[in-house]
Amino acid sequence: MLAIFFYIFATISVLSALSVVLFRNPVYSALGLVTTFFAIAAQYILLNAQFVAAVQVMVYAGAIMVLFLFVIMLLNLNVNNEPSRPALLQGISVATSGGMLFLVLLAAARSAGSLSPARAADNSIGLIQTLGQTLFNQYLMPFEVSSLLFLSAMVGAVMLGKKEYK
Amino acid sequence: MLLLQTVQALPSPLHNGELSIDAYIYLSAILFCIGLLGVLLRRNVIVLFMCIELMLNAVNLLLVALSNYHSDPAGQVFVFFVMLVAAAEATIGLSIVVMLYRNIPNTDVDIWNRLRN
Amino acid sequence: MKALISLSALAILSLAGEIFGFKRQTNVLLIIGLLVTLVLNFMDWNTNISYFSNMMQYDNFSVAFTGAILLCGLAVVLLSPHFFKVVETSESESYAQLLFLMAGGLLMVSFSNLSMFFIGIELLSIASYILAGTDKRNLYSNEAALKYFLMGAFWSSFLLMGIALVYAAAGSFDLATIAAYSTKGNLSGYFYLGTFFITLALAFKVSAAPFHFWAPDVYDGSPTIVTLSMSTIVKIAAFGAAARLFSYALYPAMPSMSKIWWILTALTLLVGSLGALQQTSFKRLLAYSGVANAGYLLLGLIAANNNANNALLFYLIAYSVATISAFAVLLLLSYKYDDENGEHFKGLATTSPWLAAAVTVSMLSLAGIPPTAGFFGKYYLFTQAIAAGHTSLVVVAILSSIVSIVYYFRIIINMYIPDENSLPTALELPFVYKIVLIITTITSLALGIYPSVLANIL
Repeated sequence: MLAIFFYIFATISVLSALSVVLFRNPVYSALGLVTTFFAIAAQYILLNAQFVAAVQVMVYAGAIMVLFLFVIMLLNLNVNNEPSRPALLQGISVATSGGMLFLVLLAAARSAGSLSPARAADNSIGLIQTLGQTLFNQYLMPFEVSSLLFLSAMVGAVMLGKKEYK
Repeated sequence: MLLLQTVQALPSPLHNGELSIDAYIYLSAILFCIGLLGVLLRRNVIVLFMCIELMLNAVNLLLVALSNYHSDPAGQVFVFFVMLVAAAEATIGLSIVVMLYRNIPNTDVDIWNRLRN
Repeated sequence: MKALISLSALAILSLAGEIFGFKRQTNVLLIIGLLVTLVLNFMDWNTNISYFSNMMQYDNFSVAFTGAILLCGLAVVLLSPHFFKVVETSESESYAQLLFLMAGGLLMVSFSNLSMFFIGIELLSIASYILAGTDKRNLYSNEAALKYFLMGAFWSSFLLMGIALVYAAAGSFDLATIAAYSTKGNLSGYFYLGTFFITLALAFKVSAAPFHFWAPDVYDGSPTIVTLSMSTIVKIAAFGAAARLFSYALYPAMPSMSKIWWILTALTLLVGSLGALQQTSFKRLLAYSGVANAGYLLLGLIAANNNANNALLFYLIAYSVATISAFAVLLLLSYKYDDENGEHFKGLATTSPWLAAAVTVSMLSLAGIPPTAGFFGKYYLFTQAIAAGHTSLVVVAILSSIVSIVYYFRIIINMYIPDENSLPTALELPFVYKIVLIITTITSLALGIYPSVLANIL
């Protein structure tokens, strides 16, 4: 029964991901990406990862995509004037990504069923309580170091983005 | 809210035997390769960034599925770090675009390829 | 760990310098701070402490690689003030980004959990994307930032896919657990696929062919001082991280990937040396020489054991020291001529014989001629590769170093032929440049005469 939902959301996410690639107008691409994010958030709920699903909607669909749309509007890119690559390069791109997909699917098919769960099944690991305890006990150090990452990105955005008057 | 509580009580399709972990790996590989296709095919910088975000999301989906499969919260914690890096990268990438746009008002990546000769 | 805290504190200090108006003293403060950090770093020698539920293992490997990163960072900070006088960029922020880059490098050589590895590599990458674009109105610098960012973000998603697939097989991000899983035998195909993806992403980071296309453009377009930090600090950190990852956890997957490694290494050596032959700009030549040197260093990664890591460290130090002195002279010439073309080396020996001597030693070391550090660096790497059974690769590497003699000697010969376009008077040599050049030249020669100092430290 849940597998049906998996297939529905998988189809939605694949179709909307394709729309990101195929629409010429960047705003349509952005909307396609938002749809993909929501479909993936639905998959997270199916996987008992409610907190990550909420964060996905807030951070990706809410913050990152708004930033993208903001820049698109700021730079007035709401037009489909993007030139396309020569046909040969397009063919190479399709062949490369198709080949990569084939490689991964082949490897996956050959090793299907070779995985075994590390621990006994537990539905409660996606709860905010479990995640918080893991993040602030075992993963405290990466959490603290990520503050350096954000400081670096913030300072960098100001450095690159500010206009110099001379 | 009620829906969330109902879903919470249900075991995931990985645990009730409806799906194997390989299904999630296939889905994530397909999304990853669509993102890859976009990076190779498109020329608009902003759309390139979006396709990279798509690739990162494919990995996130895989990590959450594996976290559920292994019943290990570390996978979901790792997703937070990926999101954090995605946010930092989006910030830097977009400020680079704004900086470039100030010098040459065009978002076609191919015009930024003059150094090659 | 102490070194990490000290580096982060220094980064915040240099940002505070902008706010509280001690901007002019930042450079001196940073030099003192980095010296203190070096001492703090070497105080951890032989302690082997694991921090925060095994997120970071500060063993001798980390101390040695961090030491190398800190020394290169110190050289960059010493050479910076004169650069900032010529190129107008925001100085304090650039220092802060440099220190963030070093902190990322430190995490990359001391992680013992893949999450730390990922955050370290991202911290290093984000800082270097920003640094590449610091010369904002220069279109080449803009291009470098965009290209480096797009490529870096693209390959970091491959790195993540690899980490996720390794997690699929091993069920943990912890290096010790992954090692326990991988030595058990009967590995899942996902483990190999994950290792393959991680290898691709790291090959990008160390500019191995066929993922090297970004390197010449990015090295050429970035401000010279940033190119120096990219070709020393980033290289040490990337090879340190790869060596740590492969020799601590993923080595069981290496034998079945030996064909891929063979192709990567041989192609990198070939592309690097043949590419360098065709360059006229010195900066681009050093970029291609960086690609060729990545090929030699890949030889040290294949063996994936402790002795090979030691050989890797030796070569990285020899390479960085030689690169620093070459770049110091390039910086001096670029202040004088306002561009960075290789032509200005012509006739350098007639007016500035000591500078020419420093460049000669550095070129000899890069080419691997006996009385210099580069010779023993190559010698150790080749011995390790032969011990691991990769004799055919060593033959390719020797051929490539014979080719490399041509382009390194071309520069040496150029310097000693008198040229009517050369400077009438000696180059003005600031005090810090003198110090840096003396130290690097002596180190190159000393490591070539007494290689045993560094040969068996790990």
